[in-house]
Amino acid sequence: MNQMKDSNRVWLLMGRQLSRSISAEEEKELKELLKQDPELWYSYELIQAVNNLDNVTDGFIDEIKLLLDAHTAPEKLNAILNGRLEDVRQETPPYEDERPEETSPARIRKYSPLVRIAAVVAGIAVTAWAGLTLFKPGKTTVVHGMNEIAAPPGSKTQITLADGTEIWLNAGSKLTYPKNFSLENREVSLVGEAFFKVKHNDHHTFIVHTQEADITDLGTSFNVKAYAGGSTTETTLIEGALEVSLKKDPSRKIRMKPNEKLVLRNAAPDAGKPAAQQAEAEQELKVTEIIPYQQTNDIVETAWIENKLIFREERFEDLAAMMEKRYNVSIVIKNEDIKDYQLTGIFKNESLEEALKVLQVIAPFKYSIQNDRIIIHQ
Amino acid sequence: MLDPITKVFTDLIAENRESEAYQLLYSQYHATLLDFSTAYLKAREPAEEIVNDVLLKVWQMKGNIVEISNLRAYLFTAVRNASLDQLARWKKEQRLLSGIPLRDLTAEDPESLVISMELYDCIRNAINALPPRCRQIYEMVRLEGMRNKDVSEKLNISVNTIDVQLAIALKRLVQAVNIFNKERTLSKEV
Repeated sequence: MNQMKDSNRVWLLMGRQLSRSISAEEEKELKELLKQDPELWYSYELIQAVNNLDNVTDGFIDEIKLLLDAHTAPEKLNAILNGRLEDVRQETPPYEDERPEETSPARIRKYSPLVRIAAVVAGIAVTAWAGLTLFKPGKTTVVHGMNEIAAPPGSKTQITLADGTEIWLNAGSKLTYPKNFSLENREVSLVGEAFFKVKHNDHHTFIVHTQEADITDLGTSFNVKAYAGGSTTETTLIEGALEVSLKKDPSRKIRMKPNEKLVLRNAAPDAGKPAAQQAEAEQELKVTEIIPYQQTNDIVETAWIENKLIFREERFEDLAAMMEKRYNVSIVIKNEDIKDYQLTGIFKNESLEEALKVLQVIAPFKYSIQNDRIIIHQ
Repeated sequence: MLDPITKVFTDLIAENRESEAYQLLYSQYHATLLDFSTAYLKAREPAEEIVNDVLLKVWQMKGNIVEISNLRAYLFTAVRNASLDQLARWKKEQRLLSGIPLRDLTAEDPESLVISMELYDCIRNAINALPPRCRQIYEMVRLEGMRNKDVSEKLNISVNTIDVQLAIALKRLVQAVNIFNKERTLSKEV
C-alpha cells in the first residue's frame, strides 16, 4: 500500500477514530477537516449511526418509544425550553419527588358525614390536579431478551406497547414482555397490578401471564391484580371479553363478561399434602359482579388509575397494606382491635399525613411517623 | 452496544428527569451541531438559530421519537436540511430569482429524516463489497470494538496497514452514502 497522501489524511483520521486509536490532537485535526466539508461530515455521521444500529434493533426502538411515551406537562416543558435549567438538581435520587408532599392540598369526597366534617374542621382546600402528572415513566431494563418495566413503590407508570395496547402499571408492580414484542407476539407477564386497554386483534390474542393464571384478551379493557405474596389473583373486566385459565389446571378456562370480577384465592402452602393435590383442591374461584361506587360512579378495582384509593368496609389492616403501596411506607398496627376497624372512603390527592388525619376522624387511633415507618396504636 | 449518550438520555427521561435529559441533549450536541451548521453557512448566528430550533423540535416530538432510530443521526440530518435550506434561501435573495419554487427541507415529513432501511442496506452493501481483508478489519473494529493495535496483533499486520485499510473502508462507505444522499435528494425533487 502506498503512503497516504495529504488529501487522504481525513480518511486516515476517521479510521483511527473508528478504532478508538486517535489522539486528542488528531481528533481536533479531524474536526477541523470535517468542518471544511460538511457533506463528508454528514455521511460520516450516518455511517457511525448505522454501525450503532447493528447492535441496536427493534427492541431498543420499542424501549425508546415506551420511555418517551409519557407526556410532559406543558408548564414543565416551557420551563425547560425557556432555559431555566439552573435549578436542576444533579443529585436527586429518582422518584424522591414523588413522595407525598406534606403541604399538598387534599380532596375529600362526600361519602361519609364524618369525613365531610373532617374536611371542614381541617379546613382543607379542594383542588383538582392535572391527570398528566399522575403517571410517570417507569424504569425500563432489558434482561435476557425481555424488557422489564417497573413502577417503583409510591409511583405509577403508563406505557403504550408497540401494538398500541395501553397499560397502566400500579405502584410496586412489574411488567415484562419480550424484546421482540409485536402484534404477532403479544404476551406479557405481570407481577402486581395493571390495567390493560388492549388493541384487540381477531388474529392475535393478547395474553397476560401471572403467577397463578393466564389471562387471554378477547376484547378490550381489564384490570389484573396479582401481587407477589398476595393471597389472591384478581381479574376485573370492564368491557369486552376475557378468558382466564389457571396455571395449575390449564384445562379449566373461565370466560368473563363485562363488569365481572374473578377472584382466585391462591393456595396456601400446606406441608401435609403433596403440592399437586393441594393445588387442585384448594384453588378457589369466585366470580362476582362489580358495583360502581354510587355517588361518583367510580369502580373500586380501577380507581387507582385516577390515583384514587377507594375502600369499602375494608379492614384497617387491609387498607394499611394498600396505603403502604400507595405511599411507599410501612405501616405497623400495634393493636388488634384497630386492625379490625371497618373503614369506607376514598383517598384522592391526600398526603399520607392528611390521609391518616382523615381516618382519625372516623376511627379512634393515634399514630407516629418514624421516617418511612408509621406506627398505629391506641 | 448503545451509544452511551442516547442510553443516558433515555434513562433520564425514564426517571422523569426531563430537564436534566434536555440539559444532556443540549450539552452533548449543541456545540457540535453548531459547528456543523456553521460549516455550511459560514456564519455562526443563523447556525445558532437552526440548532436551537432543531433541539427544540426534537424535544417537542418526544411522543414520536420512535420514528427516530438514532438520535445523533437524526439531529445531524435535521440540522443539515435546515442549513441547506437556509443556503437556498440566501441564494434566492441574492440573485433575486423569482418563480423558482423553494424546496423546504425543514417541512419534510419527519419520516424522511429517519435512517431508513434503504440507507442501512446501502451501507451494509458497501461493507459487503469491500475487499475481503479490508472488510475483515473494518468489522473487527466496528463489531468487536477493537483498537488498531488489537487488530494488528491478531492479524499480524502492521498498525499502519490497519489504519490504511480502515481509511479505504471509510472512503468507500462515504462514497456510497454520498451517492445515496444525492439520489434521495433528487428523487424528492421530482
